[in-house]
Amino acid sequence: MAATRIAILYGSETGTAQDFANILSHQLRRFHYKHTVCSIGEYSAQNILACQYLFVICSTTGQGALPQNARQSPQGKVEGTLWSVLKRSSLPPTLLDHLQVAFLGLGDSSYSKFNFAIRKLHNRIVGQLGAREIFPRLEADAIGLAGSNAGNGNGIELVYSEFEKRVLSFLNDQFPFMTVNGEQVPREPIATDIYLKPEYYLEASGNDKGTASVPCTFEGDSSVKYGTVVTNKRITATDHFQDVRQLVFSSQDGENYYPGDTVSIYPYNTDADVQAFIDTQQHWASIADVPLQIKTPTSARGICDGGLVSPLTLRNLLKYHCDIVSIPMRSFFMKTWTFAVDHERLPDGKDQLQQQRDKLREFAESEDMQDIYDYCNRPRRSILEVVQDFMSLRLPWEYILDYLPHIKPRFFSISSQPCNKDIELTIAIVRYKTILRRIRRGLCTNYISDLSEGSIIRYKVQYNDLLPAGKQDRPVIMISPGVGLAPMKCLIYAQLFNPMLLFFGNRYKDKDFLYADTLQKWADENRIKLFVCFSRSPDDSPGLKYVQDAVWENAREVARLITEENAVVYVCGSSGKMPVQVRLTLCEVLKKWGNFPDDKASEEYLKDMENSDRYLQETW
Amino acid sequence: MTHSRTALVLIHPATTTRPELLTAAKQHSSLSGANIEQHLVNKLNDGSLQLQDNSYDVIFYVTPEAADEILFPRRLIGVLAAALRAGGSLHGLYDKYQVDALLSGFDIVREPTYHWQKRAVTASAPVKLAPRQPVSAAGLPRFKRASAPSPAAVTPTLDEVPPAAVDPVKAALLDSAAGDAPIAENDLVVGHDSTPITLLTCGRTQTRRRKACKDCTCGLREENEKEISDTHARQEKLLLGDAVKFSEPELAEIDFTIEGKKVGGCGSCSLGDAFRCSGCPYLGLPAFKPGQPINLSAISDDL
Repeated sequence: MAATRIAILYGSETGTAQDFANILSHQLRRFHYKHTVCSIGEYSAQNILACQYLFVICSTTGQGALPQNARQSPQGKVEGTLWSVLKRSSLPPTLLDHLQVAFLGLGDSSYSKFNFAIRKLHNRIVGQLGAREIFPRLEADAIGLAGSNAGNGNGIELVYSEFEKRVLSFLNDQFPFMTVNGEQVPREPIATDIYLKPEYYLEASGNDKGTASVPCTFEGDSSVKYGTVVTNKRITATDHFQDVRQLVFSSQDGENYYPGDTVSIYPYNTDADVQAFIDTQQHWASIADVPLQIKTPTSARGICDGGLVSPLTLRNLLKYHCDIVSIPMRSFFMKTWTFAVDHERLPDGKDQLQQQRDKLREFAESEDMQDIYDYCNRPRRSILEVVQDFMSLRLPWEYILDYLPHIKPRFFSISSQPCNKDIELTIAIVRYKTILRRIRRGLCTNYISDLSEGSIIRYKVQYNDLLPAGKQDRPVIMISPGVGLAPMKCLIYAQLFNPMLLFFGNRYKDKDFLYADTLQKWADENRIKLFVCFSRSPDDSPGLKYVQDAVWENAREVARLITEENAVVYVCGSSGKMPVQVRLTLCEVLKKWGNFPDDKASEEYLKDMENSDRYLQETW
Repeated sequence: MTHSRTALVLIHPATTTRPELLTAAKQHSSLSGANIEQHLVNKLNDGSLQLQDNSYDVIFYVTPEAADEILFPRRLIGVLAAALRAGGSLHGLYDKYQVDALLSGFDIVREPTYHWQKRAVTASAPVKLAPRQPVSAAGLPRFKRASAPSPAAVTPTLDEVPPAAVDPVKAALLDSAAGDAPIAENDLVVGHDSTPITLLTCGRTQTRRRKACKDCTCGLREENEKEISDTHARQEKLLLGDAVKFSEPELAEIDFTIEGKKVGGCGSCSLGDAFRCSGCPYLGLPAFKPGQPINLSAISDDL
């Protein structure tokens, strides 16, 4: 990769930071700025010395670390990556004084290590190595309680908007002119109604073999594996509102996984949704099953995670690669509004065409994102439903990989015994209501709920090294309501710790007490100390509603294990108030029973636990 | 008459993808030795650029569009005519606009190269130029018909500025540090981070509705849920009718084109949620198409 004056680097766990980086890259192209855009782990460390303007967008993983694609190269190597090079201790404080930089962090303040990754990058690059910050960094909070959007009701998308605005205005102030073919001309953006041709796009391959009955294979990612579903069983009562599945699949050739490791699953769309999308674009019908090829595929690396489908047809790409049931981000409207050109399917013809075109453009360009929020995010409306509403959209099939978001794998904690060939996951199926009549479902959990015995799934295992050697042979305190139990179950099987205390909370004892029989058996055998509570059936756990109540009831023992026996605390479950309440409770527990002189001392102790990875949290 | 020749080059924004056209235009014989001013045509169209009357000898319009496909704002032809000196020439617009050219006081010259020439104004026969319309900032420049089969997709030309020269001392330092022990990453975030961050101000919108937290206890979630169930109830009432019980087959085919049921006073109900008012009884239902029944089983799966 050649060095460029401008670089956009991202560290992304779930793909949001990468999406934002790609939007920023799109905007820079509109303004004719040559630049690099890639993950932090992919960027050549030497190129930082030739770079003058650096834009970093990075999320944070649970324990405050940089995401994997920021720490490692795409080949999985740490050595020689930008971040490992920048951490070399003898680098002088002037190393990056040629560099101007701006940061955008994406985080969730229900984690105590909120936006730690961007702070680490900031403190090293600016604080210690001398780069100049263009404007103070932005820290977005997914729950809107901290950081740049604290308490003002703005989501992370608006924080990104602000970042983009500042970056563009900075660059355009610096560079009002550009050089093209050796001549200096004023820098003018390409008008927004002109579509920027992406670096890779589809074209007919000229090969007209029928594809209808050809089974799909996936190429270009040798690390993806194939599992065979053994069990897909609902483990909550049928009259309970939530469907939780025990999904067991047989791994391809065994996996050496340990507690805290996760599996990523590559879901796909239903045939019905794919057909519905094709039905909105009548000019696609004749080409939907024709073999295509990707023009300049070398730049299409990004879509190869999990392998690129073959035969490559529009229908297969829509099914396996395009997230048509996701909620559209503003970038979708930015890229597609100009294709609202077809008045023939509109009842009121050309007048209505202009109306639709204006509305889509407003979604794309309006500063105030209230309308797009009300129309898309609030009712959780999908791209498919938007396209069904806007019949004037005549989308070019050549560029679907550019304007439609890509399906990304979803991550699940492993709940089976370490290294067992059959991998077990415990998954809550996402379903909910909005004002739209069709029930909202999660793409991946909907896919999972339809799997049956013998179904083949694509997966990868992530080795998170959560409990490295040296932390074992001591007590563990596991606090995990609901599906948060998944990694704990694996941990109990592993028998790394002794004793093992499990604080487990559910809603109803007889409806969603997950793996009740197994847990009860382990408790009876003294393998674990089990503390349960039920938030909606109070008679089954008198006085105890939530997991933190159960922790408080056992405060003395908990404090002793932590302070005297160096216990590890592991919190897992839904994000929101639970992890915050649990942390507050533990702070009180330590204060009362841990022999700390004051509040501050127990708080410091808890912080030390976090910094030394004795307090682990995995919430979502 | 001794003045240095002045030329104006107007550029269509998509020319940035074909910079060679601009280079070629500038090498045109009629521009040799002239002082050249260049602007994007948008600036003229949106009023941010005003031209002095009678101040140019040559105007060149540069666009990647083919001669018979050029889309040029007609009203600007009069503006350009006014900006030219008598006898001045305009290159880059073709016969498609010859009526406008003739009306604005141009003669069409076909040999040796096609261009338009502004007629000399004589006292005896003043040519009425097309009125110079006030340029309004509203109405964005449009160079394409909205109903064009497909908008242009262009590969942007990129600025050629090379990367910075690498400081050899820094490169050597980076190399020589290869054997270093890494700094402790966690030390980068110990204690309270006191570096400033950028805070977003709110107030972009007055009516922002807050999003309920995941485990909301303040009542917002219940409020939202009530709104959802109210909306569903309203939809059912509309779709099923209150007084009349529809039979199963009737239920599946309610035609929204029935007069009086189709639209509300605002006329936007049939257009889909993006156009409906916030209290619209049809919220949550798809856009209606005339003659096309709303099929309950097609739009919901929770009944």
